[in-house]
Amino acid sequence: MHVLEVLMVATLFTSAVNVAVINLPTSDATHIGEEQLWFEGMELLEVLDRWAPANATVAAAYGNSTLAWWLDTGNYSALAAYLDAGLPVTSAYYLSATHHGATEVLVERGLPVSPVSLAFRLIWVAGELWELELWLWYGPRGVA
Amino acid sequence: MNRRGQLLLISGLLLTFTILTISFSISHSVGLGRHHGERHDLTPSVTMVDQHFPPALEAELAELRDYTGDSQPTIAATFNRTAELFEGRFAAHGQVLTLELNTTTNLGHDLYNLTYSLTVSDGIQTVTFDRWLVISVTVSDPWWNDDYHYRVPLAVTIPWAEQRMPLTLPVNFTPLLESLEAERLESTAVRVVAQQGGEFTPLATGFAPDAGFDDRTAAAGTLAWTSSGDPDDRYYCYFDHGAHPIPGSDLQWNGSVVQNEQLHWEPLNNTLFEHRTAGALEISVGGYYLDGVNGSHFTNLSAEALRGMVRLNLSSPTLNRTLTIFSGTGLVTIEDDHEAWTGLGTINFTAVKSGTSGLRYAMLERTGTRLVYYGSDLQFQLTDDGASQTLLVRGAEYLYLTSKNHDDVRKMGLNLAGTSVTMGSGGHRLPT
Repeated sequence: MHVLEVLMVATLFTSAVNVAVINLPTSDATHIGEEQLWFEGMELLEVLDRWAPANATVAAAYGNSTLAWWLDTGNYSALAAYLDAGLPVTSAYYLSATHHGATEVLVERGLPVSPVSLAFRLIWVAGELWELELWLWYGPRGVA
Repeated sequence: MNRRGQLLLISGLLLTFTILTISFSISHSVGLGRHHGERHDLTPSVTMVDQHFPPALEAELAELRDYTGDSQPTIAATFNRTAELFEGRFAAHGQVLTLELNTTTNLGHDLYNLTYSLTVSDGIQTVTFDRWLVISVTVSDPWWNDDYHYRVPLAVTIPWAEQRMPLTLPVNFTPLLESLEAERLESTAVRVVAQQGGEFTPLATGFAPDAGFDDRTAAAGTLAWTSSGDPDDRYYCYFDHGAHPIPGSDLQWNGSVVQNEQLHWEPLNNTLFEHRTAGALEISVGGYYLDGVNGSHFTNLSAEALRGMVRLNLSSPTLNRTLTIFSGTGLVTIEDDHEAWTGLGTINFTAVKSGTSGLRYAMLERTGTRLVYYGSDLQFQLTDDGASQTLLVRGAEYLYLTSKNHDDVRKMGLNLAGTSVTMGSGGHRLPT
């Protein structure tokens, strides 16, 4: 009968260890909303980047990227209109770009009032690498 | 232990198993809950790299062309440097990107096929793709002379690349003037330069403008130069809009003949030949250079003249002349794979042209007292009637003769099939 006793003790010990090593989340929040916002930002930038300009010459010059075209020509108003329409109305954002060692804010739609999600996209534009960062959060959207 | 004790022990064991099962269930649920509702789609990241890494790499590789440092960066080093640029930015955003170059294959000329692997991970999901890229890579070629503001590569294929050979190429600089935004072409400021890394070998060069040449709108002509004799050399034609002093080694264009002490070139006949007996031979039309058209004979050649090279135009259907190329005493041998002839005294040649088109070359070279002829696609016939010997040459328009042991001349006279000279598609401006 000692076999059963030993088996029971071993099983109890295993159970205790298993429960002890469980790493419980620090909060019950899953950040689903923030992640969803991050993905929407990533996808919005991706879609615009892969959206070929209608003009064949322009498309060829910018690697079939409307995003690269707008960045190179400074058409930030079109960029703002695109993001305004694509992001949830309950979200706010601002878009910054770093290239040639300098960072500039291209579009600003409010100030962060809640946890921020940061989507990004690297783009080769006119011979240099641009790093776009789209800061996203839920909150009132400012006006341009 | 009694029966009650046994039941108690078994119950305890079952309860323990139940606790273990519950603890595993809790552990699994916590694991699921931590990532519940999360979305792990790396597509935006992958498309980002696919769309922008190749042009970034291409731009970095393009800078190799104008690299002027001591140590030329390799394609692999350039790839890694560009990859690190992207990898660093991904890391800053919490993702892991790894770009690894697998193979680099030269497809000929400046084209390379690169294969590399692309791995993206967000910590939960990891994806890896194999990619390939055909890319044009022009390695660094320092500039030869800042006095010349433009250059264009020349693609040269020579059967005997280790030998110096005269080469000609019809060229039209007009499109280059436009693409390089050059105002005009100075026809005397055209030089072909052999280049190997930072080593330059300016070559004797001549440029004969075409009839109707215009230095802006019709900058066409024929370029003539000799190859460097080094198979590893690259060739560039440098040109400029301003006049520059012509080096003594370059060819002089006097309106009908391009020549210097080494080369003689008649653009109208597309005939170029070279001699290397400076001092013993001066290029001139007379004595050393005979043409069937003008009715000259070889018999006026002096012993000194025999050090050079003569040309006989066989294009005349009435051509039938006697050539004395050796009048001294000694052994004269003519030989090839099929027959050999040895005799003393005078050799008489009768050259007959058969109906062929294009240039063919035959070469007679005298090595000391030996005379050897070459001509793989020519027909030679030797006859010996006891009093004189006759060499029949068929299928040739020109017969080149030389009496000096001279490899440069001999190689030039060999079959030139396989020689290819073309001008590259793109030119370069002097880097600022």
